[in-house]
Amino acid sequence: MTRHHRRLACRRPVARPLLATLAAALSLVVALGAGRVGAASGDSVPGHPAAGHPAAGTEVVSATDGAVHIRVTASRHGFGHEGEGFRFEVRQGQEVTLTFEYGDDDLERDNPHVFLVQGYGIRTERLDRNNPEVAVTFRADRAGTFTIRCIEPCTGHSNLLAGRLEVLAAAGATPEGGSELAVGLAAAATRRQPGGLTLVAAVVDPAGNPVPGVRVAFYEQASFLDQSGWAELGTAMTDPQGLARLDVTLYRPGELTFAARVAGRGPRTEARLTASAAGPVAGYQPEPRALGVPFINVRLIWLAAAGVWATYAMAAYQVYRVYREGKAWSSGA
Amino acid sequence: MNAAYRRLEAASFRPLTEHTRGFLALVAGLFFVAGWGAYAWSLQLRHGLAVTGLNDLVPWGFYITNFVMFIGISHAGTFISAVLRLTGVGWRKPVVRMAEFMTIASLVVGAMMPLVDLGRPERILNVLRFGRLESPILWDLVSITSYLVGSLIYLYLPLIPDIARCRDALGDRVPAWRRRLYTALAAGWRNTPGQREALERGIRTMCVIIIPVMISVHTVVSWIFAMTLRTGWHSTIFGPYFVVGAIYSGIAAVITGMAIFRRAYRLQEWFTDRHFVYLGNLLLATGLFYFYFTFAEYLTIGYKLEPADKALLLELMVGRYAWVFWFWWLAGWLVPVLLLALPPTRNAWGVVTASVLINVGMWVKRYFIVVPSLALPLMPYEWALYRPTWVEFSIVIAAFAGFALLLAGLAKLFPLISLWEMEEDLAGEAPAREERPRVGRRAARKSGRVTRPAVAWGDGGEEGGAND
Repeated sequence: MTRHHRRLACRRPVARPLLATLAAALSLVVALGAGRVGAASGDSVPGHPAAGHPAAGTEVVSATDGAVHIRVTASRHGFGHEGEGFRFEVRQGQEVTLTFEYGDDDLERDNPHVFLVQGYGIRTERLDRNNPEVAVTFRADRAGTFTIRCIEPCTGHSNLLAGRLEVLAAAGATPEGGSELAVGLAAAATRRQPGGLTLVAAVVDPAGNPVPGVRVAFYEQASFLDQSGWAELGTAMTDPQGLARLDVTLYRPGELTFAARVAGRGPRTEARLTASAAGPVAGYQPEPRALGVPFINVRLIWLAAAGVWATYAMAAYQVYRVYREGKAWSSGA
Repeated sequence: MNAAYRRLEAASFRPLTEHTRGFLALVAGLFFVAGWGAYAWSLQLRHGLAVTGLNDLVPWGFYITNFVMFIGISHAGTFISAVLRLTGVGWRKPVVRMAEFMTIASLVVGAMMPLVDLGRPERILNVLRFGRLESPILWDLVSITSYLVGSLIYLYLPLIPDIARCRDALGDRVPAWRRRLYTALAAGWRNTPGQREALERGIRTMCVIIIPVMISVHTVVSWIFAMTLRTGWHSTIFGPYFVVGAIYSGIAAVITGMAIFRRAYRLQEWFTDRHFVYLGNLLLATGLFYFYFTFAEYLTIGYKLEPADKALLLELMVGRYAWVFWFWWLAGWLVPVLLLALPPTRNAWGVVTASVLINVGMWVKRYFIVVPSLALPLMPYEWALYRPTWVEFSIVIAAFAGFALLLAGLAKLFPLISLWEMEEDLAGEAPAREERPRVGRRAARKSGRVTRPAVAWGDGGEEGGAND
């Protein structure tokens, strides 16, 4: 499960059983069609590269029920021509061929890469100027999210660490009628993380049956400077009950709007939820680090400064003594 | 009062009462340069930092380099005065006052530089309003303020007897406002036993407290760098490294100042060759310490050679900063150390030449501590570009002019040599005759100059001197 934790606080802690009850009720509501929202919404949730919708620099060479062939450019900027990233979904059981293309021809020196599909233990040959295309083929027999990363100390190494291959569970493989899926969203406080909030999305098929093994992306409506939009909080796979959960942390008080949608092909299915975080909000605080340790506290700085200035005062007092003596001497004279 | 003391008093009072044409021309020139810098700053205030070469990636350039440089110079006065006073080194007496003047002047100018770098100087108040105790910036504000106030007290206390002499001896030779100033600052000094006891106690107290404050200042300056997770700054030895560097450049600045004042004020009898040689020995010792720290710094980085460290070291040694890096090694360290260590150049000329080279070299050293670490990309981008503009050059040069003006002003207001302390020596009350270096003595013999007023000055003197 992929999670992007965000800081926050919440109003009331709610017990886990209550959360489960809430989620079950939510499933029911969604099954009845009340949670079918989003397609009509004008405020769209941003999508992410998926099969059939690749980012620039990523190409689906071929895709059948049994096999998929994906080609991606890798350069110091990251995956894709301009470092757009690499995130791809396949279905469990498909034969996957990943072809990596060398994208650093504009560099004077060679910038070799070797890619590893973590979890599958598959690594490519060395990709470099003399070997500008390498490919690996394997069967995606395990569901989950797998990181594809470069393991060669190359230029721009940090940009080539977060390729994602998502293998959707066979049972919940994105159905042909993806648009028929419905998703509902609920939120409840969690005690697992102080001040945390758990977003729960329930996914059901047209018959009202929970859909396991599909990936749900969660979003928060956010603004930064004069820009606003949907910021992705993270994704989670639905469990056998068709529920996907994501723990987040509120970082500001007030009304917060979340959305969830099934990641995959077909029209977006999304749900909105406005949560109120009127209680104490964690906010961003620096970690205490060493200065938070008792007796090595920052107050020592003030104590030291006070000691210094007190000593100055003692020295300045000697000037007063000089003045007083001089005055007495003048009076005596 | 013996003849030597009378010569000293005359030499000290002469600059206070006479203004030569050369001095007036110098002051006019310095005012012009400082004024030009003020004009450049006004442009910067009007149009913002866009008129400088500073940018979002390199927000610290010439200004912060200057800041570190001047705060470093300020260490010299305290080190030479307080440390040598506590250790009972007698030869310090003629030079301490000038070193203390330098401390004040450099602290004032140094403290100005971050204000200039801010672009919006009034925002310095935000450090007080919103400053966090965890921030080294706030520590820096506290320590520099403490050091400035402490240095003023430490300068003022030993000045009291001399100010009283100015009050009593200068009379109509100075304007009325200065007579009033001397009277006020003399604090009724009559050289009574009680006053002497209070003064000694005050000086002793300040001697003890000003040393840790001095060390704290440059340590905290270094922590502003070291507590930032940037390549080249994130070092545990930056505190002592900066302090030693400050003393190194500070002593060099004092020696340079001594050479200028010796020539301008005709103080050859008091700023003798042996003072230069002694200070040269101190300079050599701190230079070797500085090499040790520099070597340790680069070795520990270069041994592990993380990718970012490697990129920085390559740029420093063979890349775009190579010329400043090697200039410092040659002009800021190797050549001065050779001049200070080799017998043929261990004389006043050699020491002054080494000091001038160190002054320039250490400014350059501060430059490549500050700028390359900021220019180094933390993300996969090109190295940041920093090209200082004429505005920055003007302000930096004006800062040096302002420093010289402050120094000249202080030397015009107060005696440049501590008369009452020298009088004690000349009267034989405070022996403090340390062994002299062989080279200095030999150099003195060769030049035929008497390097120590060792003859018949102990005629008893006059208790209290001129003001009695």
